[in-house]
Amino acid sequence: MSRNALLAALGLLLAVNALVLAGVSYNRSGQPEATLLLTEREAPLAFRDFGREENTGVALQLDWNRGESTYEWFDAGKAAALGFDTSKPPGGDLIYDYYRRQLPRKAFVVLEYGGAAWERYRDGQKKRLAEEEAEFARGRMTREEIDQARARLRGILQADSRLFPVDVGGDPAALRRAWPDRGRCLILPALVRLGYDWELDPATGRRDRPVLHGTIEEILVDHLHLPLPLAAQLPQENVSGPRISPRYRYYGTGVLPTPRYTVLLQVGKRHEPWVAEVGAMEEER
Amino acid sequence: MPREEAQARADRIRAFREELIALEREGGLTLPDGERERIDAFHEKTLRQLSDAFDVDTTGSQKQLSWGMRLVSLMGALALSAAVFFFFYRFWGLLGTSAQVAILVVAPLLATLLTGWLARREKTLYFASLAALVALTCFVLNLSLLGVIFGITPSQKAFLAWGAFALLLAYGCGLRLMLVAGMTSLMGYLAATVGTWSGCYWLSFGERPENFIVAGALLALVPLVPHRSHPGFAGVYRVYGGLAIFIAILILSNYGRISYLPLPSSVIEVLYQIAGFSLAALAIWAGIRRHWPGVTNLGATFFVLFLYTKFFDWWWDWLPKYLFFLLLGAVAVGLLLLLKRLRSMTPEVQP
Repeated sequence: MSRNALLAALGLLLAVNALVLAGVSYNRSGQPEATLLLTEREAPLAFRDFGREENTGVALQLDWNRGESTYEWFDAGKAAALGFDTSKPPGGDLIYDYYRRQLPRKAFVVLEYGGAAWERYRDGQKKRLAEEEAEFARGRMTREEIDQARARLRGILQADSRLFPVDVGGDPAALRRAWPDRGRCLILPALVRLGYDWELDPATGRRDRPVLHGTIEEILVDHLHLPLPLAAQLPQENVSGPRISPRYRYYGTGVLPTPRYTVLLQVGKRHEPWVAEVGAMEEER
Repeated sequence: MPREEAQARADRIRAFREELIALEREGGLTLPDGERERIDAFHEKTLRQLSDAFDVDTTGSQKQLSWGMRLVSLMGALALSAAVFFFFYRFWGLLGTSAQVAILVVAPLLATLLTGWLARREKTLYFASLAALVALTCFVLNLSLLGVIFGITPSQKAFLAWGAFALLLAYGCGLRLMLVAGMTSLMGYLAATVGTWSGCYWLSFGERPENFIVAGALLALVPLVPHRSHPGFAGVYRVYGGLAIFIAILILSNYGRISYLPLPSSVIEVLYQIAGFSLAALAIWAGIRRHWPGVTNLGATFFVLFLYTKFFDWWWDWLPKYLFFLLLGAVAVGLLLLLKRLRSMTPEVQP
């Protein structure tokens, strides 16, 4: 191997690493862009690739609530502002195909912790159970069905994530101006896609009114690696009994998991998050 | 002289000797006394020099063994790379962040130094090739895990860094395995970058095969830059770039929905079918004309693939299976006759 090629290869390795670490340093320098105290409900232990034996790294999964699959605020206008082509009037098979073919784009999503969106969702679920209780009283639901409905609400109140997407945009600074609470609202890069659905048309009573909307596919950095000292503060993974799992939302009628730790999450200048502290859970917030 | 040329010279000497023996046996040629000994002595000396300088294969059995050694080297490199990967995953949770970063940064540096050291000591480059793939694995692990540890937003630029590193090792040591690894990384980078031109996120680049057509074309054009030190690399670029283009076209000719073109799927599929047949025919023609055997084979393979795919679309459902396969066989015989005719029209030996 020529000396020049060897030096160039070594230089490339050093330069790329220096660039990456400088970026990390820049992200974490100064005041964090946002600081939130979450619980295991919003940051459960992530599944480990290759299993616990083969992978000793510990990470948390930033888990946002997917209870509402579509969002009123993420309409066709907002999707168009992100660069999606919404110019053709929806309707018909070819148009459906046209919209479904549009590829996902990068955007910034505002995730609000324990705010109005969570309260609305929680109250909606309570109302839904109340309606189901009434149905049960009228004999239109079985004992098993109402038990499952009650367990569902218990799971939502005790274990579900209270982190809800509330806005999306291409400019994180503009989003911060609209959502200034840095202790409650995270702004993170995400992958968004154009959705196409048929909504209920009051005139016909059928779900045949075409409507365009945006959907959130994923938060781009939702895997939160824990450094060794923080990982050591977590409860043992192999303890038996239920525990909160990422994206798993139904816990059945048995014993419900209880959040066991708190997580101080910080977000830096590049909107990349990291875990600053892990603490024992004292009381349910 | 590059090692490939040295090996080609040794192969020519071996072929010449075998042919001379056959000529003498059949009475086609009898060299005057002493002439045969002089040629033998000259060839012996040349082979010795080539062997000393480049460690080339001078006999048929050596050549067979070399293929085996290349295969073992590749398998060993893959196994060692997997070992490095899983070793880190097994123990990284027991280390502090500084130690993790130090290991991730130092590992590819050490593996690169080892590659350079081996390449200087070993002419056949089996061990250097193995070490180079381990170095690349360490670098891939390096950037991927720094991303995981520090929560960095994924970027296609990592492919550019990996590709550049692999190409430096490929050109520095003359390693084809690294050339393929480098081209694969660059293909990822180019396809992802082309994908972002339409505004989509780079990770979706695989959803539009046209991205690979552009990337493949760019790679296939690299041999326009002369490769005098590595004459064998030019063919690898052409075949690899062509392969990417043909695979993309084959997918689009059957699944037009994932194209960029704002046309109905059926129209897109027909367009790409025509493009596929035309390009395959062009590849066969260009390969024969420019003496690029890899390109000719690639073109012929995809011509048959496009044809069989079309036959499947047209006839699989309504033809009895024996007739369907009989038809495929008949087409293969027809193509063989056609290629044989083309072959006879091309002079193999140039005076």
